[in-house]
Amino acid sequence: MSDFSAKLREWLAKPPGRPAFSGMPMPETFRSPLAASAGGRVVNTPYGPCVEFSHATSVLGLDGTDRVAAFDHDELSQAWQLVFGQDLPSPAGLQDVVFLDTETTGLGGAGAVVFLVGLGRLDAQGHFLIRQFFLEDYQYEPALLDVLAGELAGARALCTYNGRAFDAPIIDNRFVLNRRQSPLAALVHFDLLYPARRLYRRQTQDCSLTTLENQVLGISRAGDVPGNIVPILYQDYLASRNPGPMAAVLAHNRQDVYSLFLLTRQLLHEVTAPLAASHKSHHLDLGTLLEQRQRLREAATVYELGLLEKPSGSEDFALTKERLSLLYKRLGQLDKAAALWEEEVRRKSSRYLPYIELAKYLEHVRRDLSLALEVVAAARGHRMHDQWPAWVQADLEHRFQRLARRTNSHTAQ
Amino acid sequence: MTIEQVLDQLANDPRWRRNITHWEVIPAQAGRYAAIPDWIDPRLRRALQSRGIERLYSHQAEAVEAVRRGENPVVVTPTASGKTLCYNLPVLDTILEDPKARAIYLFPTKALSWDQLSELQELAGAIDAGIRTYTYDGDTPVDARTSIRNLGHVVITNPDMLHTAILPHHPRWARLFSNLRYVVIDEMHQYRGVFGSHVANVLRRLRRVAAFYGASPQFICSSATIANPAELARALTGVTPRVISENGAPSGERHLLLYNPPLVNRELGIRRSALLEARQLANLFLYHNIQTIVFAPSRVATEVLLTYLQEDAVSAGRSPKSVRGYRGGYLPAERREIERGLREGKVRGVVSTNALELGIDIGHLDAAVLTGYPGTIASTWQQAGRAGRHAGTSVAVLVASSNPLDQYVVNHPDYLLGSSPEHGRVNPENLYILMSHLTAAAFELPFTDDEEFGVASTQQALAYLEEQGLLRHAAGRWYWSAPAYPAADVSLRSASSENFVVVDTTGSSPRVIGEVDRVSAPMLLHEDAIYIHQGQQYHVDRLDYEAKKAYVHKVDVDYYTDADLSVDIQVLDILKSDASHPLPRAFGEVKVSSLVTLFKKIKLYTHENVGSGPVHLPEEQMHTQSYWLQFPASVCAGLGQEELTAGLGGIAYLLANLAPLYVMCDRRDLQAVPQVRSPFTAVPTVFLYDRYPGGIGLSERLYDLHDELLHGALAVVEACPCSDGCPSCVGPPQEVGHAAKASVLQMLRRVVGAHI
Ligand SMILES: [Zn+2]
Repeated sequence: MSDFSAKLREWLAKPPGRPAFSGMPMPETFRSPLAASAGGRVVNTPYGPCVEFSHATSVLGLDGTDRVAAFDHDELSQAWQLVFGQDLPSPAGLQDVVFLDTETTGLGGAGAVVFLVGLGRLDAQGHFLIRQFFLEDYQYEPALLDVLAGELAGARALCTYNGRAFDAPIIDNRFVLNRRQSPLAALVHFDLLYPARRLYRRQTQDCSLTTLENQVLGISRAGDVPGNIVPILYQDYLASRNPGPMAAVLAHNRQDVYSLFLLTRQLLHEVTAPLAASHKSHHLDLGTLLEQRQRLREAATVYELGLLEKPSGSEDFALTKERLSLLYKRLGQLDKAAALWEEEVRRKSSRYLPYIELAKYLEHVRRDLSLALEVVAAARGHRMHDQWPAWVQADLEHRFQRLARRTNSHTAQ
Repeated sequence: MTIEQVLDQLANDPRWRRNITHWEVIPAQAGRYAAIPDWIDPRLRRALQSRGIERLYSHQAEAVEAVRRGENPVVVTPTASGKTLCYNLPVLDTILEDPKARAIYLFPTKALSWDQLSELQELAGAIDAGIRTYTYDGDTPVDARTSIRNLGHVVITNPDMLHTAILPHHPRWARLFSNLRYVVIDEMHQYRGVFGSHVANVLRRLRRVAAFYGASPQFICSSATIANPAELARALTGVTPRVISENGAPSGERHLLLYNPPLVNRELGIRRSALLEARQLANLFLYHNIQTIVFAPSRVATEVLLTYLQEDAVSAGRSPKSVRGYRGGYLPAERREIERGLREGKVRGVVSTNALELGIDIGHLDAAVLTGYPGTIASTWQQAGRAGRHAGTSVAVLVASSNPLDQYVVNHPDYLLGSSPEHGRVNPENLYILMSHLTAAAFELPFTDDEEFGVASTQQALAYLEEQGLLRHAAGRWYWSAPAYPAADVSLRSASSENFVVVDTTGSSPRVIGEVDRVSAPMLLHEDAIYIHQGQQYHVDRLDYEAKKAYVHKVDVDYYTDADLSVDIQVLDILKSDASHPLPRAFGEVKVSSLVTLFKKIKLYTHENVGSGPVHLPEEQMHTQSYWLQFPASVCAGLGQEELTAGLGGIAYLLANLAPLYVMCDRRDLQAVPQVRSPFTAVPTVFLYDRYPGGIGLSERLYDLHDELLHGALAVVEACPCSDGCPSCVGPPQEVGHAAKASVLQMLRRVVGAHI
């Protein structure tokens, strides 16, 4: 700050009018070094020129997940509902979903500009087409938005990764600032971050798209641009028009869009084929998701499978068993539930639920009061007893008193 | 005893009477009324009637008619004169007529916003036409924000939120800005100095954003009495205001007493401490169950007084909880609880910094005790106005401290009671402030090549930002071109955006108990300081300067601490100078380096110095503006080295304390530093500088007031009864030296005498 004042005074003392420093002079005709070097083309709109890049990938025959592409309409909408908890607008197919990812100059607010939009769509032949629209300089924003509005006008649904918090507000801002209606308002927006985080958070250190594509999809990016330097590379491009680093950003964005699609497909696959070997989600989380979506039998199968896979004695194992037991109870399969509680009580589980549930079952279903009393007594004498919640301790106390009274009166008769 | 009987006791008991330098009775005033205008929507009229309002005070009617005509009224009337209706009425009427219409209310603090929300919601609720009012501040839950943005007819917020959260995200607020009809600015006089200069720029940004959406809002302001409401309103809002100052509200009989604590040592000019006198006066009122507010000049004083009054409550058989503290730094929930206790009458006494000077609804108190002159006439009236919102009799006592400004005020009642309130000044063109907001504005909307933001040199300033890598000029516009969020880096309230937090480690888990602003932190939170919060003492164990955290634990000791600041000044540039005056002066840019080097331990109750210790903190540097006085040999002739040092120290002390009389500012906004041989001027020099980076125009104004300032200073010293200096004139002899008073008199007489 030391020379701020002096320096600024010097600037302010300069003669009015256009000051000397103005960065790169604007060429008379539109020219995009990036388009020239990275195979892009210039699209002319009523609002001016915009740079476009296209890229197609065949997505069939990669692995088991490609069966998703062959889903009929009902299968797709059921699977979609399972993943997102929200219906695809009918009668949309996977071809009507636009996968979107943006690169911006900042994290948000009116000064953050979208300089690259990647849109991905599946076509009828099983190709995934990615089109990217690039902002050659700030004054061409109206053209970029015009193209984007046109592209999105033909879609029914939008799929993003963290787009609710990030991409959508910035895109909406840009349309407002250009005095246009945002096309996002007409689309149903599905943000994959939320279901992905639910299913994979236990196995990954974070839930960024890059981490998931690596750990779930097995993709490793070579020479990828770190997301946080992307805005700086764009500033460099504006100043230098050197297309090299920008081409890397293009590739980064393209991979983001593609991974978004693959991850969506993976999730659609996992929820509809929960027992397939290719699933990467944690059985506890997948089971919970299925339970919440009322797929109770599938959920039970997922938990059962989990019990086979996890080492007994682990925290996961006990937790899975507990979930499964409650699910059996919910399904009316009390004996199966009781068998699980009994196993846990026998191995002196430090979780309180098996004791309480088993005691209830023995008392009310089997009407074996003395055995129920034994279970409650074991719980009250458990080394963890004092650390259980107060309501649990009170429940056990109450139960113990009642059972003791009732068994006494039984014996007395 | 009733309040009248207590007043009799004050008037007749010589123990009190002899200390009262002036007793002003402001007679009860009958109200002046006007009919509710017939164009007011019948639903609103019925709602007013249901709340017992059948007619308006004359100033309210004037204000609503002015708004109706499209003007921008500034209502300048006292506390509790029904100012809120002046804006609520036209705003609600407009919304009833056009449900798309929107308004923003700005209050200087969050606490005030909440208070206004409940009042507005009651009125809107009585209308029952679906008018939605919300507060929007840091406490607003994230999931409520979307509906506030889209649906709120009236959004109540503060300038800081507008600056960091609303304007930078204006596209999300498009519906509000597109239909923005009114901006209400309450407590306008609070927006002066640095804060006001920032707010003027925030409002400049607001007008710019509103214009983008095709809106050009009217401004409705209210203010305490200041000399230049129109000038300040114009500087803040950029529109031409219409001042309404004829108060139509009735008021009860009010007594204002100026109270000078007795001299305990005439020779040394030592008076009884204002704090201790305030304690006795407060106890007199509290003992007779008169609900009382005590204003203290600083956080530390607030806490010390609170400790005393709570002890006194216990000795008198009352609950210590009947007296509470209230200041910035308390957490919101704690504040709410205290406010409620005051309204409900459970809290009988409250000790506050000027946080309660503002119009928070704490009901009507009967007595106010002001410990020390609050620094401005406007604040004095506002603090005194906390007593006596009603028809009944009320009393306010201003207890002078021994500093020269206070002594001047209690001995010159005309200054306070005459018609010479201060000017509220802002300097929106302060380079640091202007550039901060120009940057924020460029983030919000691209500037065009012919656009001006406050100054004619806007385009050059934009080019400067381009060179700094923040903007890009393309096709006739300046586009924001950096991955930054500039509003986050600028705090409206102080030089730095971050406060220090105070962490109590006494219990098993550490707990945040308060906050201290950055400027005060080195003085209050250095290691081994005693930090006082809600009457409890804490020892500062560790200050993590980088992380801005102080770790403290509870202690019970019989002293408090006071840190010494040492300051060095270097002149960078002279912008104005006058060598023809017998006391040459200059104005220019300086670099100030300040360092806290040691602290003193001061015993509670006796206030004697009982020890000291070193402080190890980094030096702080600041570029600012200064006015300085260069003492030529002719003025210093005959003074030895020791006498000269004492004389300069005395003049610095005197000027720093007196200057706020001439420029409306806090004592803290200006600092004086004497140099016996300035490396820059090569002669004995006294610097008075703005304590804000870049300066806010205070020292420049003082440069112009050179003669008045010197005359005033001489008058104070000549009138002081002490023999060789005291805190009321040139400073305590232990600090400035025993020769100070004689030297100052000699130096000032040579200057003032020579000139006239
Ligand atoms: Zn004196």
